[in-house]
Order: sequence, then structure tokens, then C-alpha cells
Amino acid sequence: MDFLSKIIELFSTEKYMDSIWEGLKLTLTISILAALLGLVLGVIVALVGMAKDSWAMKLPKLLCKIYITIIRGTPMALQLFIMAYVIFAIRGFPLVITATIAFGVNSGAYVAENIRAGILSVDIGQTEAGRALGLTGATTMAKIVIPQAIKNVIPAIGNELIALIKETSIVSMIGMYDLTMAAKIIGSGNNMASYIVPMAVVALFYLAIVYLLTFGIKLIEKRLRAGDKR
Amino acid sequence: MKKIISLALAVVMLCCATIGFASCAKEEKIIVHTNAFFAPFEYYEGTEIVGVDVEIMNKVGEKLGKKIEFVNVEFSAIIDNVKDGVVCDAGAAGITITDARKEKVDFSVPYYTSVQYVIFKADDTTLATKTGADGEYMVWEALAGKKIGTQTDTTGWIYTDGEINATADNDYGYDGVLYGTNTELMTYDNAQLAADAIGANMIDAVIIDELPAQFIVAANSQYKCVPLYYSGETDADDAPVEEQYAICVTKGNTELLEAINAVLNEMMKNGEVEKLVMKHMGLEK
Amino acid sequence: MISVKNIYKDFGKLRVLDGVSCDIKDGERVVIIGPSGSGKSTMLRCMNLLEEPTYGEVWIENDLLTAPDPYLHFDVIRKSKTYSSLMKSAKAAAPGKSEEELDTEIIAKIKKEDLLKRFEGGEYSKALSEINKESRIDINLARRNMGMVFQHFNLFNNMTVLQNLTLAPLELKLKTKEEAEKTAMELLARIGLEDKANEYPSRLSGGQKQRVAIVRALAMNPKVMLFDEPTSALDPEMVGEVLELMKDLANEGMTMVVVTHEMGFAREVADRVIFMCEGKIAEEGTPDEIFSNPQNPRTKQFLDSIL
Repeated sequence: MDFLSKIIELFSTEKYMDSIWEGLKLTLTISILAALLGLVLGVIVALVGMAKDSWAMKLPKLLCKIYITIIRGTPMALQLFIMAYVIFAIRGFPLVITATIAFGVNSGAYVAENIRAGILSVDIGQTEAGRALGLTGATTMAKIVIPQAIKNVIPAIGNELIALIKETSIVSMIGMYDLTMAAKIIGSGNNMASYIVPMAVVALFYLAIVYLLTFGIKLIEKRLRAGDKR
Repeated sequence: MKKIISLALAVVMLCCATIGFASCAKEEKIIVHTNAFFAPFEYYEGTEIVGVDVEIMNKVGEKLGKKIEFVNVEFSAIIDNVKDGVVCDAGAAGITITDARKEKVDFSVPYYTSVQYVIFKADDTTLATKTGADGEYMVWEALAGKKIGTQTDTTGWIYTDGEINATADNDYGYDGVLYGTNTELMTYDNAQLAADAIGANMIDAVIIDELPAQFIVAANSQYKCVPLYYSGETDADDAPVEEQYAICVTKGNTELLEAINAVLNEMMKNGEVEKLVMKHMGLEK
Repeated sequence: MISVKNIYKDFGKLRVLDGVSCDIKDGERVVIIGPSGSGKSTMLRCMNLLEEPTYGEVWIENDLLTAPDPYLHFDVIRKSKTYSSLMKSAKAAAPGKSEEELDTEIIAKIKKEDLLKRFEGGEYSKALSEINKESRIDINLARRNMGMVFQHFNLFNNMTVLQNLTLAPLELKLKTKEEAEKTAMELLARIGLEDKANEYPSRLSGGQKQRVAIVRALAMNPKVMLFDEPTSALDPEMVGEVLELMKDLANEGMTMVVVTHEMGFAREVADRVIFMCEGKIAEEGTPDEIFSNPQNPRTKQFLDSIL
């Protein structure tokens, strides 16, 4: 009963709701920007990683490998910390950019792996058939391989986006006002003086965002499936 | 190809913006790092950081003709950030003066004397309190064998760590009151998280500064808080664990330090600091 | 038509092709047979560079598909630093011998011991790039003239049958959409599958898929067709329809290179049969010569084991 009345108190207090909206805005901003950056980075890294072995590609390929190894091998919280306190330790540097880069760079490594796996899942014979007809590697990739790979990649990237959104909750670590920070503020001593209710409420907001996203991904998947009438 | 070029452009622009920020922002405003979970000294009111420290620093800004910008960071990061002086100029977060911190930063004159408090469950009979001339209090010994929660890098944490781990034989050079009593120290990101841990039966007590303790207890009727004392020979000798708050600046930034000292001295002379504390605790008439 | 010159192919440490040369003449139907692992598929795939030979050259008419192989050009070898230093020391060691004698010896030595390095001086590099400039053709252009049919059909799963046939002509801007679709429908009519034009490959039987794959290659009007075990992945009852179509093509005078285990087809259609074994051409000749009177004991052994 106490729990319920506190939830009502939270939703009916203007300053608490202000906090939540403010946090929601930042969580969404970072998530969306980082997802875009991650996609761009992921595509580039995947393409470089899968390019033919040649003298000129040696260094870029090595860099991509190192990048993926480091990002996947270290905790996100530490990556964020290093971005904020080492790399972008610049006076007045907007934290939103720091966080976007930290999460985008992190997401990019996973997206790259997802794309790579998706492309590898397409039978090599498809590429050979395209090339044997005289199509260039790029055309074969664009018209034959990628359309088939996308069906495998979209669900994996969807999962990555969901993970990304939830992972942004650690930006409060560098003092940023996201949903989790909003919960901490509402729960702090001078406000509700208990984290339990605001944390539960904020969890519902994350759930709602992820649910909407899942729904969107399902729609896209359905469309892609409908496309090949199988 | 076009995409690659536009991406490269974006990167270049980002770099320019960064350098721009670095060069032009330097002189215009004073950046103050704080941890806005320490009412009444600094806390979020909705989306804005307010509190005693904020009002003090704003006065300093007026005096110097510069804008003050408060940035919320982890409490444990403040001292090091101020020491480096790259991302901020000052730290105002109800920071207690300690010798270790003095080696890293310059402190202003102290502007508030605080006492360490213990928060515990009101119905917890295993924690004995005493009653002295100034009312109920608890001595360190009462916490023997308990699980104690603190906020990382606060003085509560430093004291508790010392009392649990110090012996005359190790680096501390004195005997801790709780040494060898199986007392456990747990650290949390902030006081509220520690207090919630009592409710969740994870720990028995939290040691934290007086004012935040009172805020937490005021809003949670199942908790109680009393000042923490060092035992003397008799009850009358028992003395509270006292400490003094000050604002810190990067070493060598005398202009800012002098301005802060001037503002603080004036405010303390006419009792304004007390008034601000009252105001931000919601006790203002 | 196609000229394979002394090609080698290594997969890591494994040598799959060990110095193979052969010429496919215009209008000729060549069937390549041999035990599995003999390199016959690899050789076929080297012809349109789906596999890049480690050494050797592949020519189609007067166009060079591979990078020039210096070991095949004596005048290039003579420009290398290795050659000139060997010549110098050889002259000192045997002053009596004629320059021509030495030249033959040294070139043989260089070829045998694979002595050429990546960089052999400016003259040498210039000579190689000269050949490149004169004869080398963009592989994508060359492939337009070489249709390829795969064991596993490799129809594009994301496209309808019609799109499979029109993709390359349209992407390469060889035809307008109307022309490409008209040709495609004619080709589908030829194999009796015009009603499947808008189906996806997954709805076709194996035999239908392979026949579509063949006409997909034909849609490019190739000068030569390469078949890589076109019936090996088919159910037995579907082999006939595919072979029928291939025979039709042969009768029309299409130049064909076929890797297959269908000896009946080889006997009936081939102008020449090549028997490959352990990365080399062990024997070649007319179907009669190979099937009725094999000279090489290995050919005999192979034929005995499958017939």
C-alpha cells in the first residue's frame, strides 16, 4: 500500500515528472545517436574486416581486429570512464558527445560482428554466381549478398540496440542526467529518500522503450520475410 | 565514397569543435565539480542543481564577474579532477578538509562544522545508544561486529575504514576502535543507496554526515539517526566525530581562492551560511 | 578460345594443380573427367578466375586474364637482376661456353628453382607492366563471355526466376529492361518454364533450378560455357533433363568445357576428353581413344572403377 501511494506520489509530483522527462530525453538522445554511430562504424569495420587480403588493407584490417577485441573484451563502464576522464577530459566538452562516442564505438564493434556473421551466413556460391556473370564485387554484394544477409542481420542488430539502450543507464556514472540518474535524484535524501519506488518506475520506462523497439523490429522482420514469399 | 567523405568531415568538425571549446571556454566561466546528492549543500531540484554550495559559488562568480557552472560527477572523482585542473576549477561538495586531500588541492577557509551520524533501523535493539548532555548518541564500540555502509571516499568511509583496519603495526600507526571485531565495511555510490541497503537488510548501519542523515531519516520513519562519538573515560568525555567543510580549488589558483575566502568570511560574519543551510533544509521561516 | 598455360594452384601447402596446360578451340566440346581431388574443378574455375592460379597464365583469345607470369616470358626473365647476376658468374666459371648455351641453362635453372623475387629491377618490372598494358583484360569484362554453371545451381535466392535472368544484363547495362525480359522469357520458354518466371528459386525442383541456371548464363550470350559437375547434386530422375539441354547447346555449336562424371554424355557429345589425375593432365584424346583404348594405366583404373 505504501509502495502504491509512493508511486502515485511520484507520478503526481511535477518536479519528479520533470526529472523523468529530462532523463528520458537524454537516454533517448544518447541511444539514438550512439545507435547511428554504431551502425556506421559497424558497417565500415565489417567491410574492412571482410575485404580481400591485400597489402594496402593489412593495417586497416589489423586496426579493426584490435578495435573489436578491445571493445568486446572490456566492460562498457570502463570504456565510458576512459572516454570521459582520459580521452575527452577537455574543459567544457559536451558530455552528450562523450557518451555518444563511447556507446557508439562500443556498439559498432558488436554491429560489425553481427554484420560479418550475417554476410558469412550467405552461401559463397551466391557470390561466385554473381561474379561469374561479370558483375563487380560491389554489385554482387549490393544486389545479391546484402539483401540475403539483412534477414539474418536485422534481428541481431535489434538485440544489440536493446542492449545499447539498457547499457546507457551507466552514464549517471559520469554525472549525466539520464533516466537512471532521474531515479537517483527522485530517490535522494531531500526528495523521496528511497530508491526503491523511483527505480521501479524508471524500470517501467526502460521496459516501454525496449518493448516499442522490439515491436518495430518485428515489423521490419515481417516485411523482409513477406518480400521473398517463401 | 560520399558517405566516407561526409563521415571524415564530421570527424574533422568534431575535432575543430573540441579545440574551439578547449581554447575559448577557458576564461569565460568557472567550472565547479560537485556531487548533487548531498542536500542541503547540493542537490537536484527537478533538473537544476541547487544548494548552499551553489549559492556560495554564485556569490564568488558575481564578485569575479564570471559565470559559474556546476557539473555533477561522482564524489570520489572531484578531488582528482580539481587537482588536474583541466576539466574544472573548483570543487564544492561539502568536502571535508583532510591532510591527504590537502596534498592535492588548496582548501578555502572552513565554512561549516559537521558531525558524523549513524543511521540504523529504529527497531534495531542490537545497536546500543547512550544519552549525554546533548541528547542520544552512539559510540564506535557499539558498531563492533556489524556491517557498516558508507559512501565511497567520504569522510564516513575514511573514518570507518581507519577504525576497522588500523593497528599500531601497520601504515595507520594507531589502534582502530573496531580492529579485529569482525566489523565489515560496505561502500556505496551515494548515501541514499547505503540507506536503502539497511532497509534491504544488507547492512546494519550507515555512517554519513549529519545533514544528509537527517534528510534521510525525516523521509523514512523506519530509520533513526544519532551522532557518532569517540569514547572517553566517562560518558561526559565522549566526543563527537567532528569535521570541517571547505571549498577546494586547483593548487596555485590564488585569485579564485582569495575570492572564495572573502565571500565565505563575509557570509560567516553575518550568519548567512547558517541561514542558507536552514533555507535549503526547508526550515526557513 | 581459351588457353591455359602451365598453371599451378596451391591451397596453402596443398598443390592442387601441378602445371596444367590446355587449349580449348572455338566450337570445341571438351569434357574433363578424373577422380575426385584430381583438380578438374579447380582447373575449370581457374578458366574464369573464380580461383586465381598461383603460377601460370589464362588467355581468352588475345586477352590475358591473370597477372603475367614472368616464367612464361623468357625475355622478361632475361631482364631480371637474378638472371644478370647468374649470367655474370656463369661466364666467369665457364668461359668456354657460348652465350646461348648459358642462356638456356640459366633460364631452366631459374624456372626450376623458382628464383625470381618480387622485385627484380626496373627493366624487369617495366617489361611485366608492358605485357599487362598490352594484353590484360578486366576480369569482369572477360567473364561476360564465359557462362558458368555450378554443381549447386547457385540461383539468387532473393530474386525471382525472371530477375535471376535479367540481373546481369541490366546491371551491366547491356540491354534495356524490355529487351532483357523478352530474352529471358524466350529462354524460359525454351526450357518450358515460362510459367515459373515469377517464382522464387526455392519453389523449383533441382532439375528446374539447374536448367534455369544454364539459361541464366545464356542470357549473357556467352562465347563459351563452363559446366562444373552440373548433374552431381541432382536426383537421378532429373539428370536427364539437364543433360538434354546441354546436348542441345552442344548441337548448336556452343563451345563447352564440362567437368562431369556422366561418361555417357562424354562419349556422346565430347570432341575431346581430358583425364586429370593428381593435378595433372594424365591423358587426353577423342572419346573413342580414352574410353576404348586408354594408354595410361591410371585412366584405365579410373574407368574400370566407374563403368
